[in-house]
Amino acid sequence: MKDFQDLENQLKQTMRSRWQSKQPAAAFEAEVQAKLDARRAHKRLRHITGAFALSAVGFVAIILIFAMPRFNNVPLWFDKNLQHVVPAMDSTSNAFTAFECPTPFPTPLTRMPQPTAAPPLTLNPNKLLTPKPTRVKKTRAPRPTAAPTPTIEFLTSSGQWKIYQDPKYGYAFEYPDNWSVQSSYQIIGIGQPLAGSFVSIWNYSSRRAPVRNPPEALGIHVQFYPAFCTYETLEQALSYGEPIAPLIPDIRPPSPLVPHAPVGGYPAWQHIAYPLYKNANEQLEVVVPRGKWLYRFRADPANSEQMDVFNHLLDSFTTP
Amino acid sequence: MKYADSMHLVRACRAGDRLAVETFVRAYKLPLYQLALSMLDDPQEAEEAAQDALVIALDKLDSFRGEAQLKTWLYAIALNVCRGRLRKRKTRERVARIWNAINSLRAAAPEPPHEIATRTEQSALLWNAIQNLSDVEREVIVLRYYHELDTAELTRILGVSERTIRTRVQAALDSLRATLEEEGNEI
Repeated sequence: MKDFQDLENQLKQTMRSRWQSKQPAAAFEAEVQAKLDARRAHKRLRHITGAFALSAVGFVAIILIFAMPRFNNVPLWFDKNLQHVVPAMDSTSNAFTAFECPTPFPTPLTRMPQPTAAPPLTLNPNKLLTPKPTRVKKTRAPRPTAAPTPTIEFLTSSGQWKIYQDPKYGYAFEYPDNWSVQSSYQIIGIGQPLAGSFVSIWNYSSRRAPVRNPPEALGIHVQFYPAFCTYETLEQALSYGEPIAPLIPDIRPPSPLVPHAPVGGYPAWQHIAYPLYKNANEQLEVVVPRGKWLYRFRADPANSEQMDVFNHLLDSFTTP
Repeated sequence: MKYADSMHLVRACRAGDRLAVETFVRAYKLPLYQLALSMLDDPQEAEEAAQDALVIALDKLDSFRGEAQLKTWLYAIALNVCRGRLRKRKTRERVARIWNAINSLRAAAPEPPHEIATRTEQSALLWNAIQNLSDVEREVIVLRYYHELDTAELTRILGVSERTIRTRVQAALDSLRATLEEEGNEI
């Protein structure tokens, strides 16, 4: 075997004999020029297309921003049931503080009777006062070792009042000092959860309530919803978030809204509404739209004691 | 000559001087074609690769800062173009092999005239040995012994260290020698 030098020389000769005599075609320069022109034209077209696409995106963004000025800085939910956009709930902070309705809340409603010509509120006493049939259950003999079932001690108003002030939204009202208050900020409608609060005042001590919403309990409910100015009518706003309605086959629709005495210094309306719970009585509801918010007060009109408390609550109601 | 040096030519090309572009292409078409031919071993494909390399170079002249020689910069571009074409060719060949195997129709392909001519030469076995080298080894052998580039130029073109260049050259030569010994031929 010869040394590496021979191998290297042989390599050079082999490759030269194979390639060195070959030349590019005569049209080489012209083809390069044509390819270069095509490449530059393609580049220009790409720039133009890119600029056009960017402009289109910007245009669409501007349209979206100006088409929905009410929802600036607010995340959106799309309500599939009502085909209506409502602001989403922010559970950690009150995201609706920055939200302002573009126009005042649509009150009085076009379909609503004027306060001067309003017919008196008519209630259906047969419906409202009919006691619910008591279901008799078969009871087993109590086991000797079983702990005694706690009973609910229903309270009457002592005539003394305490003030409830919502820690998040600041509205306040008075309620009997021996009743219990339950509040929640998780309001579930038919579609999506809403912001706001739901406060119930019960005629029993919270420590003595082994079941939720016992049928004998007297409940006054204050609901506080945002952004109902996005609805065309107050009735539409009230129909939102009625979870009980679809569950009752022969439920009577809510009665038309009629004026109510001002609550907290703001115009108010009232009507007979759906019951809040299945098998519960129909409810007297007083609604107070205020700016972007809607206050809803409910009570059982068949219970005189509850109505006394309810009226006191409305009289003492204040908003921040 | 209108253009005093390569940087002068580059500046004129950047300015959009068509005559400068023509001069540029005329000046570098042969070395780039030869490089592409040595990498691809196909005159038609080599011509296309050289054209592509020149087009890319003329389009990217703004990125040439004159730190290396213009020829070295062009070689690096042409080498990348050739690598891309080799990758595509291998994929095509692999697909063709699979297709032929599936159909059991693979027939001995007629060899091109230059293959027959080469076989008659004394260096046919060496050529076959070169073809059997890996891409990396063949690349460095062709650039070193055919284009006669020194180690420093190879370093800039291939983007690896001088030590790596020397190692690759040595490995390629060892591989060639081993292949030739297997064939029972001594050089």
